[in-house]
Amino acid sequence: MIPGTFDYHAPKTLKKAVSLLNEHEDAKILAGGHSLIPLMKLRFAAPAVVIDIGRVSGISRIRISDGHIQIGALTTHHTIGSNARLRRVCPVLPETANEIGDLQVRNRGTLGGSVVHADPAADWPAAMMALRASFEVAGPSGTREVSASDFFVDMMTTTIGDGEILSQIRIPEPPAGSGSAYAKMHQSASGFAITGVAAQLTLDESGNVSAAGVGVTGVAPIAYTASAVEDALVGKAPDEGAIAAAAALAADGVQDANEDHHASGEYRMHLATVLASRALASAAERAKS
Amino acid sequence: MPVAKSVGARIKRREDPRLIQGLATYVDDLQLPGMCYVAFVRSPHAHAKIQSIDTSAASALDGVVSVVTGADVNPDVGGVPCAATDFPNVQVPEHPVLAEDKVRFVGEPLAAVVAVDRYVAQDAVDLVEVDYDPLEAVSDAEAALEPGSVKLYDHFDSNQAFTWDLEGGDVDAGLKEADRVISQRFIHQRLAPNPIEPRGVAADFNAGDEQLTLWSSTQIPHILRTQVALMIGLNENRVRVIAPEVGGGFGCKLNVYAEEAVLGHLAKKLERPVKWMESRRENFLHTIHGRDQLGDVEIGMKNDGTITTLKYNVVADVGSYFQLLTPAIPTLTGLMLCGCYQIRNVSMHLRAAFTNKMSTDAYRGAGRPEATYIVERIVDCVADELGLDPLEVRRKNFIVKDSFPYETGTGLSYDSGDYTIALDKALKNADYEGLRKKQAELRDEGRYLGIGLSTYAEICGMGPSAAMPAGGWESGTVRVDPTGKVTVLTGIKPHGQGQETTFAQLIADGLGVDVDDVKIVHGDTDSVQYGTGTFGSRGTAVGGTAMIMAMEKVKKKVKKFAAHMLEANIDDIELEDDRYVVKGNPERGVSLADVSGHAHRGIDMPEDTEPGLAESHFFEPSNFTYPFGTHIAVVEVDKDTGEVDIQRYVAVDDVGNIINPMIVEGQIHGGIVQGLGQALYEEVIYDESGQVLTGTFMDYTMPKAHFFPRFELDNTVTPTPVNPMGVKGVGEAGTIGSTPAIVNAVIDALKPFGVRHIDMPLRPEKLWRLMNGGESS
Amino acid sequence: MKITGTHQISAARDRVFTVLTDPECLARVMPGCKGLESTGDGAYSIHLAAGVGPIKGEYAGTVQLTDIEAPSSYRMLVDAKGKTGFVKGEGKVELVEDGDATTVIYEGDVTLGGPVAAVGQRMHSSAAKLMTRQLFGAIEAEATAEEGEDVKHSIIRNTLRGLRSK
Repeated sequence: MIPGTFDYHAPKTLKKAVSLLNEHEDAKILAGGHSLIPLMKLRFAAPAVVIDIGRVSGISRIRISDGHIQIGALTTHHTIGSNARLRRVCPVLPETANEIGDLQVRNRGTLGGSVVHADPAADWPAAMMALRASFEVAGPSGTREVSASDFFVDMMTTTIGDGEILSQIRIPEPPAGSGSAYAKMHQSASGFAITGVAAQLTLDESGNVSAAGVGVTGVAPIAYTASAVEDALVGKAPDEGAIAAAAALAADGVQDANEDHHASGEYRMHLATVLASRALASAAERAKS
Repeated sequence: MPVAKSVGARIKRREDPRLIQGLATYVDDLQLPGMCYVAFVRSPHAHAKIQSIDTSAASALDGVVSVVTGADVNPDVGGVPCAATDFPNVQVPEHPVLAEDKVRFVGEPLAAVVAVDRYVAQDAVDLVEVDYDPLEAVSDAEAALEPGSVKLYDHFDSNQAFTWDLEGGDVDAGLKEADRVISQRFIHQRLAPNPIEPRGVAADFNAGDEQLTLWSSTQIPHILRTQVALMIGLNENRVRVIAPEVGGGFGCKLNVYAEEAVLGHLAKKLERPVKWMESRRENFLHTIHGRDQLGDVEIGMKNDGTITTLKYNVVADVGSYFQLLTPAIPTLTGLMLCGCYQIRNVSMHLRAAFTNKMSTDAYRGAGRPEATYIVERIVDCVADELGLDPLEVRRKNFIVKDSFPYETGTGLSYDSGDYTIALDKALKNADYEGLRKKQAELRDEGRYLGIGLSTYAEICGMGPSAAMPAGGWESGTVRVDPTGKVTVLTGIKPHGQGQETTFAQLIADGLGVDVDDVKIVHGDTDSVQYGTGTFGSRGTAVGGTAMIMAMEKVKKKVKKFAAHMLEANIDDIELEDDRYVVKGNPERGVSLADVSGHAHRGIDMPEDTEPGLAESHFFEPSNFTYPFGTHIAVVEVDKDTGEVDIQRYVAVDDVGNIINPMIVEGQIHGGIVQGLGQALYEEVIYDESGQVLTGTFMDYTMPKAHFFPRFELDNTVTPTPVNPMGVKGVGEAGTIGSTPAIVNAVIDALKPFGVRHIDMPLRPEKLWRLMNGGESS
Repeated sequence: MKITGTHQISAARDRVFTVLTDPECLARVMPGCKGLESTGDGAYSIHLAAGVGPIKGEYAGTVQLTDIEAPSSYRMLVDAKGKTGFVKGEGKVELVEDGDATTVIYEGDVTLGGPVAAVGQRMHSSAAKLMTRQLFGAIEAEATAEEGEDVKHSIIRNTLRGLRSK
């Protein structure tokens, strides 16, 4: 790692971090460092100031209370992936976490860092869309809350302003009769998603879908909510036929699909339908059990 | 205790504790007083004229010691050498260590910065202003050979680097004799060797002693010393090369690189120690690549599956310059084209092309994986054409056990082999019949299982000097210290092969000492007698033999001393465990320490015997060795996604006698993974303009352990007569054998879709398209 | 890398053509443009701070407009370099009247070189498309800006509208 010269700060409170961020021009927040450091190493990013929030307390906890799952932005993928309660309450979260990179990456990388970086192939945004997550953002004049659908603006671009820090991710606790899952094809080199689909289904007493959430990553410049799939399922029994018919709509309306030498846009869009079907099938299975 | 108490045992590698504990010393661990760091300015263009280089801003930067360009360095430093230029129609380019007039590939170095630390050095690199006049580039080898193509070298007739022809038997007669003829194009994509430790060089010049010490992460310290001395104009005895701990090479460190000479030159000129560590990004750009051949094969066959002829018309993409062995590599493909089959009529017509890419050279297997891939794919193509089981086509054409030594159509003499026993064992271990049954059942369910075979034979133990570009012999010295501890000096340079363990096992048994009392010294040209190095699966087969021969000389002298000390006849002295005893009278004996103490005391010597106890041997092998085996891959391909699930991997390898089974298995594991890497994942991609698109591990797939199932390994043992140990070498077997097994398996799985061939790497999208009515794109 | 596409802008063709070829307008609509100066004959020297998210690079070079057939077509050549590599592009832009709106048809070939080519492969096409979206968002804003409206606000509005419409 031979980056350019930078100043380094390691504040202990979120407030201090926010104020440092607003005091300095060209400052970047360092969380787990798995997106920023590689860029700095290549000198593709050369911030004048790095503010390491690794020692900030209170933003690396998982709490489930008052009908919400609250995850601190600094929580590592591994912490989420190994949380037994989440595995019961909202299995798509640990499932997504455990599909990220490799063990070393999961031990360092954070949920907040990933969503703020907004890589078009990152895993978390799919789950965030499917689960209707919202993001608590701290800025110089207090905090604000942004829904996942407003949070991601474009590839590697979010609504987070230059002087703001993501502090918490809030997810509505899935009601009884819910099940969720993540299905992914890995890009063999990076481990990022060529395509990933997160799904959550809630069933009513008669076994029909009362609510559906489907998020897709890897296909478009930002993760998106596959509303056509969700709409097609609500009110129906999640049997094989209904899931297949709904999943077929998983890439509806996608223009400018991502493409590279690992996968064309057409293939990614196709995978969205296959993986949607797989994620929905296992979400339905979990919802029933 | 049996004679072979250590050889054959699963002794844990003695190298590992220091590696695991971080106690090994690599080039990057070296810290010398006043050491400066070097960073290189590299071309972002694939082909461009250098109009001017402005180093003033870089030189002015605080902490910069020196900035040099080709104009500064090239008058004093000779070009990068190539040891294999004796080819028909060869055009040998000059290869300056720093490009001066023109750059010919992305990553070519053209200036070097020396600074007090590597951060300043990198800052200064960014300040060197180079004015390029970009030229059209050619990155496709066939296009490069077209008349009218842009030329890399204005003074050459064309981009044709050289040609090479090989013919055995009569291929046209073989075609006439055939009932059917088919042809197939095969592409061996370009690969990056990617050892875990990139290259690195440190240099220190002692003006008082006029002595240059050069540390380099190399597989060939002695050859490097000779070449660097010649390049920078020092007497060879004034250059000491040390290859410290080397973190893998896979052939890419079997070379002499520009940086090695530039660092030596800078240390001498500045009289300050200098160091350069290659970054992974530099490694992708300016460490040699492997493979990169594309060619058309014509195969003639009888209706019973007998192959009557094999014609290979190939273009090898050698990149922009010749590195140490660049031209020699594709010729190895030709020599091994017959594989383990009796193909009497065989030919290869090779044209090598210069392109605006990094040079190709030896990468694990070096030319032979290409041959094995071709011939093992061909037998499957023949089976497909004739509606036969690929197994039967193999049996039909196998070289039979009784015909060894066997003269191949390509002029080689295979030492020993029994291809049927390895095949039978693998079939049994895999339950081939059961797999075929399961395959049929699953197909009825719309699931696609594939079973792929590779019955490879390869050429190892490189090799007779007459057949090698830079010497094929190896050296060994065995020294017994006065206390009876043994020091071995070997001319090879182990960098992961485990010879500090296996050589100690051989010595322990041979001289009657404990494994831990044997030290293996390698990689320091001031300590070790001249040697050739580690490559071509030769370390043990050739280097080990040199050591064994030296040890036998020592042992003869030990017996002479023992006989003298025990007042017995020398012919009656035998080694029993750790004592040299008188035959039939085992209580009369001496240990090696007793003998060595006596020999070093220098009095009461046996007649006509010198004091001391050290002997050397230079071993020239009479032939190569030819390991073989059968690999069976079982895959399932997902029709909806095209993903390949490797369900089982069964390998039976015959590498001759085995010194340490655990080390052999480790070599085979790693080899298989690298072979499967080529089949499924790896590819260095240059775009049309010669830009590298796979410059990081985000884009270039390094196969990882969790991609693979547990390999099911087994072996047969057919010793070679070429060396006294009967070992054949195992470094490359896995890589050479595995690639076609997995490709054959995937193509077998896709047979219901009318698929006859797919080019590597077998990316999921390609397979998905083929399984869903599309063309492979 | 081929970049082709069409984009509809709700402004008259003459206006869109001006935005695309007038140096002052161009300087405003090109993503990350920090400076654009005419050097005569349809050639401009350009200074860009281009990037995606945290990836930033400064590029300096030239833009050349040729074969100008106002208001229906022109060719554009871009050649710029920076520390993270270089970019070269050549393309044709056609403007077709479509009622009150204008359809812009573009077809070009972009070559990236140096580090940016070697390490960002999986992002190249997406990044190019992102910048194209940003460019057209800005063009739309510039071309449709009411007198006195804050153009920057309009850019964000149009970009978001473009995304939501998917």
